[in-house]
Amino acid sequence: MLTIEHLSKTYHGGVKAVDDLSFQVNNGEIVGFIGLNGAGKTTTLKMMSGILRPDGGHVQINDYSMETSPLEAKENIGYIADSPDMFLRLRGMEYLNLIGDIYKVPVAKRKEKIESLTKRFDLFDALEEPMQSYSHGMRQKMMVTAALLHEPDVWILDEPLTGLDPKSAFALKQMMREHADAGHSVLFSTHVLEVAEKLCDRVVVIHHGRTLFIGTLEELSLRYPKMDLEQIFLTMTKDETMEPSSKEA
Amino acid sequence: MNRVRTLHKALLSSIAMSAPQDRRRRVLLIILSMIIVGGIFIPVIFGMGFMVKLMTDAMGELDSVSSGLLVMLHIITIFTVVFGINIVFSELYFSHDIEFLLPLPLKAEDIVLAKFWTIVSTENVMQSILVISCIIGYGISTKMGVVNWLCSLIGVLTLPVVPFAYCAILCILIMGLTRLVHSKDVVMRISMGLVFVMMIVLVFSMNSMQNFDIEVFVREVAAGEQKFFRWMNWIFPNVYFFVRFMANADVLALVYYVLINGISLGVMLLCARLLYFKGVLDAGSRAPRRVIKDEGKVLAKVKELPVFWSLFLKEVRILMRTPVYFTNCVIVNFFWPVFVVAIYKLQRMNLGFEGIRVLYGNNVFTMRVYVLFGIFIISIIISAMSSIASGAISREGQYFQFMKYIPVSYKIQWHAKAMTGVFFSTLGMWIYLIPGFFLFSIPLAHCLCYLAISLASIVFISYMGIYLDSIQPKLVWDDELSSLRENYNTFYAMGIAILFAAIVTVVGVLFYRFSGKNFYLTVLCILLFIGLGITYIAIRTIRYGILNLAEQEET
Repeated sequence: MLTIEHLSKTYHGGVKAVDDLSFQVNNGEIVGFIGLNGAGKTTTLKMMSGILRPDGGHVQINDYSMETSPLEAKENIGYIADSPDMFLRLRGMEYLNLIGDIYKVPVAKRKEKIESLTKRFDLFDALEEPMQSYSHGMRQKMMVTAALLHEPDVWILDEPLTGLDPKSAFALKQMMREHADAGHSVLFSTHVLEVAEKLCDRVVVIHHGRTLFIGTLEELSLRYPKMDLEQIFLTMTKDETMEPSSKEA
Repeated sequence: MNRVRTLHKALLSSIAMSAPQDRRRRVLLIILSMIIVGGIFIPVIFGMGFMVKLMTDAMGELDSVSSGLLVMLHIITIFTVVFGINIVFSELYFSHDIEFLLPLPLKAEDIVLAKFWTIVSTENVMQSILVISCIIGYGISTKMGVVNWLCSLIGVLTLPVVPFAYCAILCILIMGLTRLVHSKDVVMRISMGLVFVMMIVLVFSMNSMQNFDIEVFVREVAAGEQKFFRWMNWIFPNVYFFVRFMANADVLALVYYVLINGISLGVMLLCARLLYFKGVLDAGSRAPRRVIKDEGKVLAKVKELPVFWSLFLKEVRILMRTPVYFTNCVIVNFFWPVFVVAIYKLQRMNLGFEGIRVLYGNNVFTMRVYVLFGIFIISIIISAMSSIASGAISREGQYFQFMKYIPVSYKIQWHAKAMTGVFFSTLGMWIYLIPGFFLFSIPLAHCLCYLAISLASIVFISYMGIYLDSIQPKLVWDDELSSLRENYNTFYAMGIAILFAAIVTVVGVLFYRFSGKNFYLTVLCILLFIGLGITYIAIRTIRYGILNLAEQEET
């Protein structure tokens, strides 16, 4: 389970990127994190994963607070960054071994996961190649493989489908569903509303760092009758004065 | 021209190092900058200036006062070309901004000129310090007038234009007319080759110095008959005419100087117009073919290591596989014997192994103390120069966030990075020292003392380096070379290394004298000093360093 309470972040220069954000991703659900460019999605995800230090508020991963037990909290996360360009001088296998060592994945388990994940993503043949020679999509698939290697309980994915071919995108969406169905939590940011519509149990819509909506898509449709998701989203982000419609208990 | 100016400004601002936000780090950086000025810049200016003054005095007796200055400026220009070619290649053909510039309605000449001025502006800092040093030495020796001092400003600002224009022309011709270079790595190998050639030439020329007659050489240079520098006057006529203009306030020489600069820029722009876009577009389609490895063996490579070793191995692999890091950070640790041999040759000594063995055995000329401080100074300077530790956090660049989200304490990550510096510098020292000890029959107890001093000084400067880099790492860079070139933390580490080496050497030499020339007590004294240094940096790391890392954000 992932909980954030009153999370705030102001960048140097006074730009308030995230403003008093609170929501929860329960076990067994996929939550889509939706917002315009610059809405504060990546900043929020980076605070959740320990990359950025919040100015205020708390992040809780299962039983661990990111503030007081950061290492334990991080062990429970599988994080995919917004850019897949990571240690390009390493070979795919070397990178996965590094990740395996960091998350203390036993060799047998590591072999099994590497084989299954890379074969599912058509990446197995490229494991011995330097990641520099990978295409953008291959790098993204490598990041997904690495993030899932230690079977983390909570997935935090920043635009995970960007650059993936249809087959790999389908495989990842399927894996997200399987993960949630197994009682774990998935939070992912996206611009693609159709993906959110098909995949998410709930969505969090943010604008200028503040929550516009938290709830199911059905609840959202009830608030904006006779509108499709795209129209709803455009209307919501146009009307900045709107108060959050519902909050997590 | 406006477009070039705007583009130049944009390129320049993208490479500037950001200033720290909090007061503590700002104050620390000001102190470190003062150490650089005191530890590196002033000694360089003083040393170079003094050398040119001596040369000018000597040449003055042969009625050729400006020859010393001319020789030094030619040497600086050669270095500019050798080290500049790699920078120009990277900036013109392999920087990330090119793919954003190509779709814009810009002429090839506009892009090349803007990038060219960016290179000249950034690279001119160090060169201008060297040029100013030479001019000061010359000016003091000849009691130069105000007009000549003013004339010299033109050279300080514009001398790198011609050598960098040559580099740019060469790069554009190679990329436009051949298929030799398909990646930055190839460029790095070429420039590495050039540096190796220079080193070999240096060693050979030092070897022939035993028959070298300095008086003949000076007479030849003064008479303008020295073949090498005569060639240099033809290759870099800008240097020749600048010196003539500055020394004599010769307006005609200034006209020639401006003309040569103009022609070199004109040729560069013409080459750019004809070949730049072709070269850039070709560069993108010359990637090497992928080799698929045996599938059966792939899973056998799954191995488990303790996290410290895994992080250490990652650092080693990146350093070894990135040509820029390999040459600037790794190889530099292994070059020091060239300079030791060069200094030995310049002393015109030819003792042979047996002679050295006898001298060391009897401690003639307090040789053991020279060896002791030699090893200490080389270890500490080489380790600082390598910038492995002082660039360890900056090297992460866009990967910096990885350090933050993995469940590994900053302390372990810190040690893994510092140990990479310790590993390469120790290897670079010990790989020569240990066989050397056998060769010269150094007693085992002395060997252990030397190895301990070497290791301790490397540990000190490596941890110091990473601490300095944690204060304000250079995380935003376009290519790996920029992460080194635009990172001042290596300079800070160098400044501290020089200062520390000077203090410990002075204290150590005094201690040796006053302790009745007791070798072991002197070793102990130095180890104590280094130990104090290590303790100090350990306290600062625990109190502030780790905090710096935790507080550091990507920008």
